[in-house]
Amino acid sequence: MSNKVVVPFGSQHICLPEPVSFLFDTENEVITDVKVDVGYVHRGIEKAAITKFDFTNVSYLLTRVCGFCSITHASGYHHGIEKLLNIEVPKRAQYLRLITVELDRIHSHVLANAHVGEVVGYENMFMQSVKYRDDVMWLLEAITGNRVQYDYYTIGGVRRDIDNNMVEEIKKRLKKFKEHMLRIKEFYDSDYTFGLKTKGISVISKEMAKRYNVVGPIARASGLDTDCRKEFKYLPYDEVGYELQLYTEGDVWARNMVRQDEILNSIDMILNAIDNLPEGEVKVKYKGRPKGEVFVRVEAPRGECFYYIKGNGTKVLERVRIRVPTYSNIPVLKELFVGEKYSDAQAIVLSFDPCMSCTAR
Amino acid sequence: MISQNVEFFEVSVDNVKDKIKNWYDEEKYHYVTINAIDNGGDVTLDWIFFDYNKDQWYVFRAKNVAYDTLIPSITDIIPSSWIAEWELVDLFGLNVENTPKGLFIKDPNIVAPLRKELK
Repeated sequence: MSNKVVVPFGSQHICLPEPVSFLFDTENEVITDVKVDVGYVHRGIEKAAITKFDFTNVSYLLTRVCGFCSITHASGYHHGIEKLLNIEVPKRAQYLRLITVELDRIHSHVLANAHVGEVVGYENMFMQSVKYRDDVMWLLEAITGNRVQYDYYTIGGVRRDIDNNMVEEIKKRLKKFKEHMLRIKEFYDSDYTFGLKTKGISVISKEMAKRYNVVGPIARASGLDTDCRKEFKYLPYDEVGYELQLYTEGDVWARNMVRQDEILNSIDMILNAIDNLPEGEVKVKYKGRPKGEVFVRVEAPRGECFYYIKGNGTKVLERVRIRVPTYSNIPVLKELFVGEKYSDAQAIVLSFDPCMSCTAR
Repeated sequence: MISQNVEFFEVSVDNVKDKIKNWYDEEKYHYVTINAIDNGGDVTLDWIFFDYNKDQWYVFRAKNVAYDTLIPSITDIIPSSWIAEWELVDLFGLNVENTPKGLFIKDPNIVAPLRKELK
């Protein structure tokens, strides 16, 4: 006899870092249908960007779209505005931007993977990861002045330079951090129980990833080789050893592995950037007001972050549109639940590393 | 500085669906989103794509679309487009085929906040 139960999951749930609601129809604990609601934290940020701030201050607003990938939003906005103002950013500033963007990716990925570990039963793993992650948070604070929501980008460059002491500190901390990350990768790769709870769960095939326009580590875990860092040149990734991380399994396990490999690649890129940090200024002066329109893609920790900016030659912009990666991945997540066991729902959601404050804006 | 290779296709709401259907190849093109720009009285709509293999944007642009025009849904071509279509309804008060209101904004008193008339 079948046992049909409707199970609400969120908007507040022990495993959810941010509010999103799923309403699962289940039959014998297998999900048969799902309704999703993402609209709990709409803050009117796009409206505020075109009514309350002039273009030089919009960045302060946009870095508050998200606590995790705030520097991605600064990145998307500034690369667009600099294109409209025809500003060539100094090479040293480009490298410093790359270093902070990758540090941001590292701490986001560490936490995302740790959350997956936690919900499949490894609470201690989560705590260890968060302990290691604090070194990266420390570095971001030392470089940018903020632990989260970094207003480090400025139009024409970055706000602060780093000195030789900081260069040595970054190297020292990241080399130690890399040892921890290699050990964690070994765990994800080889632990029997972790594999049992993550391998073969909620598989997205490459075809499905293309059909649903999946982005970021979720797409790369399904063998779809898409990454804005290689497709859209906005920072000098080709000079510091960027490597695309690709898995083909498409399951919860592969998503963790892609993120873990990206952490290791980001560490290497930062160390290369530090070793080859160009001399010179960290920002240039600029004149004028943005006029025209620009389309921008940058790779946030969760995937492609799209910005559209339109200026009309005044201080206030005409339109700022943000399309974040979770927004792009929600449709496939909704499809994916059907046929999976309810007991796997937590790991499935967290393997997507969803960011609802970005999505609702 | 970033590049900006954009190819625009001028469309109308009457033919945009057919044009996207005939052009779109999911092996080659990545659907990014649908964007609306309020002109104060009407909107410009962009269906935005990027090439998987080269640095190239493709934008299907419909200009001067009246607020009450029925905009076709492209979910049967691109299933993931429903979320962007829903956003057009919620944030611009547009009328999109088979698309309800209430994903991003629950308060019935807030209507079309991204229109210019709402300061």
